[in-house]
Amino acid sequence: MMQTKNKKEAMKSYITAADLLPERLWWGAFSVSEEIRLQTEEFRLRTGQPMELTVNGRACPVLTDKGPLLVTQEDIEAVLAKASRCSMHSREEELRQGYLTAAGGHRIGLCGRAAQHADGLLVAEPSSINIRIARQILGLGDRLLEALNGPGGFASTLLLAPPGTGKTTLLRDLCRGLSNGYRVSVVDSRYELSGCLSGTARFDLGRCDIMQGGEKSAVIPMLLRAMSPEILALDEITAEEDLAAVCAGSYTGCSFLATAHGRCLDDLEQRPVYRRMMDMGIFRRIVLLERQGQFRACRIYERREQDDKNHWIDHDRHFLLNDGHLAEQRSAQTQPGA
Amino acid sequence: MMGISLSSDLRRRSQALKAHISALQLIRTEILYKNTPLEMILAMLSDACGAQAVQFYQKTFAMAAQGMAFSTAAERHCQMLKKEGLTAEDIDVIRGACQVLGRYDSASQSERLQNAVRLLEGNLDELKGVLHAKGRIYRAVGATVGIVLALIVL
Repeated sequence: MMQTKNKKEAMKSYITAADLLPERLWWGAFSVSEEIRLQTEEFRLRTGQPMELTVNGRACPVLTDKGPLLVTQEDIEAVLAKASRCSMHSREEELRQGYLTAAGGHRIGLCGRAAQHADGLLVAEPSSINIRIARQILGLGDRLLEALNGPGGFASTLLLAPPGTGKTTLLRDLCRGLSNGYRVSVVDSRYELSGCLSGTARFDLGRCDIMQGGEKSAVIPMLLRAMSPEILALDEITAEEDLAAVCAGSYTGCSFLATAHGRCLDDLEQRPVYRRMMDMGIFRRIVLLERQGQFRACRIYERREQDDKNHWIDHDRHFLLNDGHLAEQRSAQTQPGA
Repeated sequence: MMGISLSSDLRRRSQALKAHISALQLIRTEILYKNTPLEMILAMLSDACGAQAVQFYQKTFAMAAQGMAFSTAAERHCQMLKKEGLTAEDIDVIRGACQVLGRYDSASQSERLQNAVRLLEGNLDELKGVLHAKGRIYRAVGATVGIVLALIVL
């Protein structure tokens, strides 16, 4: 029954994302089989190029009877007009980050002519866009939560994965699951986690308190003061100011659940913000997600201090994720860390 | 009658120009200083300018929100502008303003809208001059022709 519910959710997400497309491309999006639609992660539109669906990490051009379905500049402008309700000027904050969040939590990445303004760089005339289809898979994180919830409660955990692997989808379900036993506050700066743009949340985050929009560095202390969370969940810590807010929050006894881009633990060493976070010992566990064909696998690493250094020990709990089904695998490996 | 009609055409155009100038000024201010979404700005328009101008922008927005480019939607409603008494030159300026509405960042839109307002104000000033100089003449000529026709009939 859960699988049927998730299938319906996946199709609903596909439909709401496809509704952003102009009519010609909308027909293209629905010209593919239901199976492809359920596995589609993104719509990629580039001016003068065929429309593409990203299916299990692979680019698949949309073909019609007359050949590939070519995208025009008008198509891209039509998508942005719909997504922004003809008000790109009211989304300048997002444009400076290079994206736009549409209703339903779908994030539209923008690429094109960049314009320098007093407040920074922004994408003024997009010629390529990437619509990432936001999905919820209920129960995805249930087994993982059992492994993460130790005798001492939930310890600060970092979800590490390359782009497009499903960090945000997993984070969403972990927040939902954790909210059953803890006070969880969610920092939803980009409106992606809740999928909410004008009041009603699209996704079920359970009993979480959700703060949408705003800079993480300002929102984190606000939530700590106002909602006294036991766990604070946030997507992608990237700025020094965000790190400072997380550090300050860690002294209050609050645990954190966050995501980061990376293929392996060594990638965390390459980035100053994450290196400092690892040195400070903010995160007790790292969940490394990787793609294995059409499946996702994850393994848990736990921090152990030895000889004044942090070592990341493979927790000996490996999971194979496939649309909510988990199969556990076991292996033991020590990974030296910061 | 003819004279009065010509004079009233000029006044109608004058009223329409004032309405569109007010509308574009309000839109520009809200976009530049508050980044207000267009939908909300259009809801404010009815207090600021004439009903016909409001109708034009609201109907255009309704089409654009469905995914049509604002400029294309504006093109579809150009007949409404003709009925308001605006000339082809006035309509071209409004069409140019609609090409940028909602499409770009606030600074870019503001610059183009300010330009459009300036052009419309220029047209309005020119029209005021014509009304002043020719309005009375049109009325006088119209009245004279009317009297002559009445005498001929009698």
